[in-house]
Amino acid sequence: MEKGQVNIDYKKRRIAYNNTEMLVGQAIRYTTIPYASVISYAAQAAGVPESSIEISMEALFDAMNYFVLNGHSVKIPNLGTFYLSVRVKSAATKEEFIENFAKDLHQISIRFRPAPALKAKIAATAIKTLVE
Amino acid sequence: MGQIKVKGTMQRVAIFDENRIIGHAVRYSTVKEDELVSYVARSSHIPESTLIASTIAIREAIAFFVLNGHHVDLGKFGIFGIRSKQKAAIDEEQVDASLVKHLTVGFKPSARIKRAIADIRIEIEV
Repeated sequence: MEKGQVNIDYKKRRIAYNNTEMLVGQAIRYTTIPYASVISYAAQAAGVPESSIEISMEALFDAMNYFVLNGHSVKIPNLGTFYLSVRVKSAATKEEFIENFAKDLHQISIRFRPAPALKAKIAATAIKTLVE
Repeated sequence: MGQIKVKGTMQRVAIFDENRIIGHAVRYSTVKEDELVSYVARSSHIPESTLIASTIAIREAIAFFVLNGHHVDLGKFGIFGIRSKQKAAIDEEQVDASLVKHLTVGFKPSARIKRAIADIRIEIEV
């Protein structure tokens, strides 16, 4: 696979905490590749019919959702690990924790941790900075 | 509907400088790709070879598009995209790649998954 390139765009923005204008960077998003295009690209690359990829991915995504939403993590080699994480306010005692749990539960979310192979590809990605 | 267990354990919290109960989601196991593929093959009758070829092709496609600055929409699963953290610069001369401190691939779950998360049953264990 070719080495990737990410462009970071710097724009002048006000920094609130010290009330100054500075150049703040953000990775440029060119487009959002729609699901159908990803399937089509993957089908061409793998030499597998698009319909097979689509059916397989639907079934795999359903299974991944099922496992992750039931407290397991799912590890896909060369891509990463998906797992569920909760944010809940700490409590001084067990009783307080149980009693206030519903109120103190801030967020349940699916987290993604990139695999070492993907991290290596990210590290090899060229970075170009642009200033507006 | 999913069901998870949140376990509260006593840990020192630096900001309070005291021991407090901290909650975290219990992770039962890590499902590996071959286990996932076998599970899907058994439940859907899709050949394992097709499932393996599909996962390899999709993960290569994700890496290719994301590492070239695109976001990848995987429909009912979610969106992958590049995320970066960089220092701010005072003027244009300061701006270069060395200001980029962290580059990673992020994942944003779909609205369908977020709805499923909202319906999760939670068991508390302390």
